[in-house]
Amino acid sequence: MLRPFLKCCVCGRPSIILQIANYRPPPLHEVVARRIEKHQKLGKYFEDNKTYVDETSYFKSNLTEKDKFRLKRRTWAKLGSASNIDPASLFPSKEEVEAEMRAEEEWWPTLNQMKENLRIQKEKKEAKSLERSKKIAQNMAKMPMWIKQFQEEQVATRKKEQEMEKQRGIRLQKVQEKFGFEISRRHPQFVEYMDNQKIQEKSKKKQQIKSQKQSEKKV
Amino acid sequence: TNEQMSNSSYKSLLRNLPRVNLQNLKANPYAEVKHSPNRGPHAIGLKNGVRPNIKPRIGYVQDKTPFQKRIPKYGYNREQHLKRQYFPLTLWQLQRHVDLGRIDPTKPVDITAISNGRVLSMVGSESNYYGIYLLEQGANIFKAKLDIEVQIVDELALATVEKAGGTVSTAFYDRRSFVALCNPVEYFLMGKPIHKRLLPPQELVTYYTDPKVRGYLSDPAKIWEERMKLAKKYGYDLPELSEEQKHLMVEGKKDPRQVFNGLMPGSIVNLADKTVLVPENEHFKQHAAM
Repeated sequence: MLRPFLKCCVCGRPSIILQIANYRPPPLHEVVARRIEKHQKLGKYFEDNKTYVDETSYFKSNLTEKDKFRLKRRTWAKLGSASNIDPASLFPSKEEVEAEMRAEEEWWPTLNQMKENLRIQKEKKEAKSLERSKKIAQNMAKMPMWIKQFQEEQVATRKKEQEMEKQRGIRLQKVQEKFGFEISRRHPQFVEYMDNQKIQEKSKKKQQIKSQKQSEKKV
Repeated sequence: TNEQMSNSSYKSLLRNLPRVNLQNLKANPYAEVKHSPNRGPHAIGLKNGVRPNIKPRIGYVQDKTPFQKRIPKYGYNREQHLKRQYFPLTLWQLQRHVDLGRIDPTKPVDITAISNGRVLSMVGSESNYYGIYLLEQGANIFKAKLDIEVQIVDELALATVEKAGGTVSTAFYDRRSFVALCNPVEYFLMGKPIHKRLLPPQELVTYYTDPKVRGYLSDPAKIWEERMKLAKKYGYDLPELSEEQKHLMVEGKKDPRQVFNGLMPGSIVNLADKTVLVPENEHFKQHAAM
């Protein structure tokens, strides 16, 4: 729903709030006048403080030899023989050419070199894939034996589990007969009983080992 | 002097000299003072009796590392600045420009002919473009007889150009020579000796030594066999080539280290005098023949 009557955020009184684009661009002649004034002020400032530097002369004086050489090359290319520049001076010296040759030998591989590298790469890849396929073939030959083993193992484990379950059921039955009522495995009395029995079994085993050792000594 | 001063006097001098402290340490003259950027919103003071509602900058999360730092970047754009890009050129486009007269079919067509005919606007001096990719679109209408040199070519595009009686070759140009070929006048006006074209990088050597794509480093005898094979595959009769075309394919081939055909690397071209200055010293020739 539209609600034109809202509270003013400053004074808190209910009032109609309409948003109006209130940007008024300054007239151009004012802007120009302001900028001229600013520049005049700046000029005065530089004159007073004498910090103004002639930029063109500064940049011209700062040309390096490389820049000058580039300019020379461009003027010759533009004007030709009319520029009165000796074109022999535009070519690189013997030392520079030799340095470039040395750099090329050092940094850029030749075509034959690259082909050799690619051949070695390819051979390595092929050897790796061949090795892998060999390993796969060897293991696939063993596969029926492994499947048999796996199935046998599974049968054995299932049997073992079934036996364990049976024994557990028998044990539970025995305990329930002792207590005289149905008791869950999580019952604290049941847990206590089982712990006690474990300790007794351990002590029995120890005694058996002791008696065996004594009999061996006597013999 | 040193002889007069005993060992103990040096020690005493050292003891009495001022030490480096936090009090006497100073920054270098004109050293930059780096202020740590303010973190979070800082709305200071009141304006018209109201605290200004300044919101934190975009991406700012209070008391946490921001999202863009917490989660690592994806690798989609990894090494994108190194990826080579090519301008796509279709056969349809080529045929149109031949019909309009912007491409001269009697002369071999390469990067310079295409850029001069304004077929593609190949400025690309800031980007990572390496040439032209000839595409197969418009293969059903293509009839021009062209000897064209591109950087990458589609199989069907190759077959259609050869069916019409033309030849195709693929060649690699490095960035510098590609820019030079796009605008040779600008290149010659620099007045520099012409540079040597680089060999392709190792990953592209397999492409440019392949006669199936008519690579410029492949054996020309094998190219003839491959031409026959391709004709058999697409079922067309190969038209006989003229002697000029045969010369262009074998003997008149551009050297793999040459940028401009017929111009030795190291020579300077002057457009005003219409002269080519070729150096005759031996070290220049050695460098060119390397």
